[in-house]
Amino acid sequence: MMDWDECLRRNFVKKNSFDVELVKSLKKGSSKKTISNKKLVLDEDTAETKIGIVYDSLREILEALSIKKGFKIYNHECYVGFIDGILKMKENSIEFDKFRKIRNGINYYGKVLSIDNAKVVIENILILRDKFLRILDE
Amino acid sequence: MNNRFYVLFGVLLIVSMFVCVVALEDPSVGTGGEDVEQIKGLIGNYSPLDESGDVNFSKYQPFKSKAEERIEKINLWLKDNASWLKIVFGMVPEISWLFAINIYILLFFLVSIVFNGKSMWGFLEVLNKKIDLVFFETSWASIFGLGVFIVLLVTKFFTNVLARPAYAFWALVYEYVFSTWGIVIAIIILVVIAVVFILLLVYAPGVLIILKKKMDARKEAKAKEAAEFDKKILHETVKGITGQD
Repeated sequence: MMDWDECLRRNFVKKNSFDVELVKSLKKGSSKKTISNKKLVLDEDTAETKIGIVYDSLREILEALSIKKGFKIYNHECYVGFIDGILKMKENSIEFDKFRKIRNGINYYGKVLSIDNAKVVIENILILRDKFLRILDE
Repeated sequence: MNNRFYVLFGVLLIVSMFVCVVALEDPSVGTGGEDVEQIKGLIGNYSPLDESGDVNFSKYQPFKSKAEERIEKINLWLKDNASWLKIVFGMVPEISWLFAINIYILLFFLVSIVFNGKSMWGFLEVLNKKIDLVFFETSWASIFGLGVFIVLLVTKFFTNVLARPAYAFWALVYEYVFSTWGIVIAIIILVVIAVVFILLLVYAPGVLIILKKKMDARKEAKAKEAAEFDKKILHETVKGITGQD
């Protein structure tokens, strides 16, 4: 797992100026995705899609948060380092890393999840998203 | 000394003889005669024996205290205004031991069928699942028990099947216990109620605080348990996807 320093060193992260409009836009996009998630009923066919949607919703909030802190992150793995290194939320960084791995497994390796497991994953992604959203709004 | 004693004894004897003779005859009291007749009538009502000495219950009207008269009035009022409660209790509420026994039977079955539903209906596996009702957690067995209880209540099961033996039991208890020990038991009950009431007044705030703390702790423990469960699921999911532990 890459730490924040390595991300900076390998140019996966760049310093950036605070763009208010971009942050607003990302928040709006994230919110829309949660609405889409609600509209989609969880079943065997939609489980992975719903995980993809809520993961993207979470990532957009993290992107907005990183922009607010003056960074532009180009690699999902570096969000783990950002949460740990900048936000100082070690446990949440580990949790995010799990979601990232699940999402990658679904998107790149065609993995499938049971409905029960998918439900837990979705719920926890949304809990983490709310937590970061509160930090963003502070 | 002896002379004085004889004089005193003689006077007392004369006075007592006079009193007894007076009591044997109806008092001739002029204007008060009507009252005496009323009193005599009342006394006659307390005995089931008529003037000829035969048993005649139709003339028997037992003495009623003020409290009994008030209870009668209250019961009459309940009958006129709260008769709809018959649906709930199987009988019109009244201040009587029968009604108290009825309530006891209802509470007994409420506890057995509803609150103890898990043991009662636990053999039906589908009812063993828990349900969270915000303020407390219960099982589907208790909900089912509540349904059964309501059905039994509406069909007057408790009243028809159980109130009669209860009444017979009560008659037995009344005959042999309460008619003799009623006042003592009433005093004990009153003392217990008074003590409980005072204890409630003193300890209620503290108890409420403890209850709230317990509720919060329960919520916290439940949230922790859920988080642990989720953590386990997430770990297993990631392990299943990446193959890494």
